[in-house]
Amino acid sequence: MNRGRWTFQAQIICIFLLTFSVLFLVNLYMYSNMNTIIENVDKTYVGNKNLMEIRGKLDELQSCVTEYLNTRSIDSLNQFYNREEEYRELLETLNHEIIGQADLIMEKNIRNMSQSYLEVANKALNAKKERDIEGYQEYYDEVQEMFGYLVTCINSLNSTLFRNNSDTYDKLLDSVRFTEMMYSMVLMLTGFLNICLIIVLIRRITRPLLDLAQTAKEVGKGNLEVQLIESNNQTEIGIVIRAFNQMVNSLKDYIEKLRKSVEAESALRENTILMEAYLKDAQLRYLQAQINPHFLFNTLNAGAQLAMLEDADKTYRYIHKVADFFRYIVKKNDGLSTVSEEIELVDDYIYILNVRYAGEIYYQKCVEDELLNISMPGMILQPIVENCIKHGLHDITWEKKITLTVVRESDHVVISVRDNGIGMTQEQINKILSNKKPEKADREEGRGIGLDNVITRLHTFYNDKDVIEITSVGDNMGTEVAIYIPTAYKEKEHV
Amino acid sequence: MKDNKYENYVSEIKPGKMLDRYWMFIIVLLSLFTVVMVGLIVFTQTQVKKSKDSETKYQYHYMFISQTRNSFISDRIYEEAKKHGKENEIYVEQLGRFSDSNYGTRDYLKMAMDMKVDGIILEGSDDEEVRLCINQASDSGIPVVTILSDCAGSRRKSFIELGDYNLGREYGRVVINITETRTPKVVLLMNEAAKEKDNENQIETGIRETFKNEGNHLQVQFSIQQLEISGEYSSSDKISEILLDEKKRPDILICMNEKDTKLVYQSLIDYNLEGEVKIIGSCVSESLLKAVRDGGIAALIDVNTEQTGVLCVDALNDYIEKGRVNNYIIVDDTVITSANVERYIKDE
Repeated sequence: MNRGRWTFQAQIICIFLLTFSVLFLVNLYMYSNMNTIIENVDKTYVGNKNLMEIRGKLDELQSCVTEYLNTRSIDSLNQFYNREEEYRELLETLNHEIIGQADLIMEKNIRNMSQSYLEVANKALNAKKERDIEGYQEYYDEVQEMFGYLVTCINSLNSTLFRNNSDTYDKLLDSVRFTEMMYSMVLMLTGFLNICLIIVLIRRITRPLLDLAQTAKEVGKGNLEVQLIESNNQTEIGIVIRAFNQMVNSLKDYIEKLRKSVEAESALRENTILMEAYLKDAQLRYLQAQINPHFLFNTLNAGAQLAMLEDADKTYRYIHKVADFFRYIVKKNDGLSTVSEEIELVDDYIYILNVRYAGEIYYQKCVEDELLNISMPGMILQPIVENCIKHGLHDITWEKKITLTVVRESDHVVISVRDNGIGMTQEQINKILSNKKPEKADREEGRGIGLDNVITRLHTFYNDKDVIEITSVGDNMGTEVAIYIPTAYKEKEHV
Repeated sequence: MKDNKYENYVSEIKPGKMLDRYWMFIIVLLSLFTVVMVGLIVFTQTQVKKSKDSETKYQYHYMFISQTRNSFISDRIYEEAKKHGKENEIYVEQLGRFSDSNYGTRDYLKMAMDMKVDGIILEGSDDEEVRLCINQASDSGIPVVTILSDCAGSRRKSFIELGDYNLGREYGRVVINITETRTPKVVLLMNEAAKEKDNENQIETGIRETFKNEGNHLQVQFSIQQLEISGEYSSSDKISEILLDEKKRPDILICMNEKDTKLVYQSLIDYNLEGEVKIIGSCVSESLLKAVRDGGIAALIDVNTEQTGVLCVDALNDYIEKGRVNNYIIVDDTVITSANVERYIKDE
């Protein structure tokens, strides 16, 4: 069934043609039956009419015979022959076969009797012509007798036919009434069928349109997740449905793309804002500290000059290192530094601490000179070293060691800060790397820059999650913090 | 890219989807309608066919003419002949029912000849004109067979008769069966003119032979009373004479024809002799059957109508097809008593 290939117009035409054909066929059948009934009604009294005609012609024939036998008139003889011809023609309408129906048998009898009558009548006329008086008299008597028999038979058949016709007429009337009732029922049935067909077919055609309208209404309300109508219909409606579906799908795709683009832009903007925020936070912290360092820096310079005047070299050197330390902090407020500057800061910091704590920290560094000029964010190494001392080496009883290494590893410059302290668990490492350690706690412990700030700034600056790595093999086995600076960045910077 | 997506979407649609419910509904609806319409057409055609069933064609056309006896027997014979004829492609028509005419057997014979029928079954008579007509029919190639009564001297091809000797024997057997005494007085009423005929004598012989052979335990006083054929009045007188004379009054009266049977039955009612004198009648008619049922008549004896109907048609067939047939064909008789009369009344 290739219903899907029919056009909308063809389907509408098909509905009308189908219902029209059904109605037409039924009407044709009814018309044909009604015609048969009308023909039967027409035929009802045809038999009687023919018989009356035969009877009339027979009377004329008998008159002609009688007249000729009485008068020998040529006119009457000619009339007889004319009538005889006509009579024989009329006889042809009568049945001549032995059919098991009383009226047809009677027709056959009348036909045969008429032929016998005509034979004897002709014999009588011939006898008269030949002037055979006895002969024609005898034949005439016989003709008279046969005429009487014929008339009796014709009357009998006429009565029979009339009786039969009355019965037939009654039957026909019954038949007409029955047919009338039947046709009314057939017409009602056909009407019902046609209505059903039209309803069903129209529903079939308009159903997709209604579904489409409903779906379009939903889409209009903004519900793009509405269930789309599937259609294999190749009509115009099918095309509209598929076009609509395509439109909804395209709309969905477009909206999805737009959403992704907005999300990406938003993420970028958020990243920028976050970086700026962290920078500002770091700057703020050191600005807070800057007030005192400026005063302290001048004060320390004055102290250093005094120590030099008093030849206290160690004091002079100490105060000078402290002054350098603070100077660096004050100087590096723009955030960008070099490896050498960062290492220098670490050197100063450890020197200060060793002075403070009577040289208890053993500091070792291994740096490739060619890597010293590589750019990197400022205030990175010192906070790391500070963390090592505060958390890793603070409570240990053995010698406290810190090793700083700067080496090249394929396309990265690796800056490693290793201590021999208490070490860290993997859980602690993960927490630190994912910045889950509460910042408040860090701040409370020291007033310096927290490790989380360092990690965030490194992530933001290099846009790489693997830029920093913390390794600890177990308890009391120390901790290593390694920073991987991409060489490409360096080259870019150099350029 | 968009085109590809659209194609993908379209390809998800299965074009060969099964018939949806709309089409199923339409198909069911149209099927039902077709069944109803076909039913109507078949019904109409059956009606038309029914009306055409009677238009069967036959090979021969025989005419059945019966005028002289009551219509009961002849009608039954005709019905049987018609039925048997239909089975053999022969249409048997009965002639003699024109209500507005005074035609006799001769007229009907003439009509049948004019109608050029293939054969005639005739209840014969001794009328000379009838004899001539039978001869004319025979000359013009229309065979005539007679039933119930013959037309002696005519060129009829066969006479289907109730054998007189056998009939006499049947009368004798009925007498032996119904008599309540060992010395029954039995009177056979015989028409005076008919006495001369062989058939009546053969009846008498048959009766006597039966009494002698099968009724030797009885002392039957058998006598024959002649009835005048000149008029009903004289016959009635004779019957009164027989019945009122206590010494002559028979125990059993055998009547040879319908008229005598009716006359005797009426006389018994008139003289209040019902039960005293038993009647064995001839010829079956509606009134006589009722008398048998009421016990007024002990028994009626007549021809076997079924056999007669079949034999007369067969006789004509034999003559037409073989060119010869037996001159006399004997049929069995039928004895109707109160035991089996209901069947005939029902049939009627």
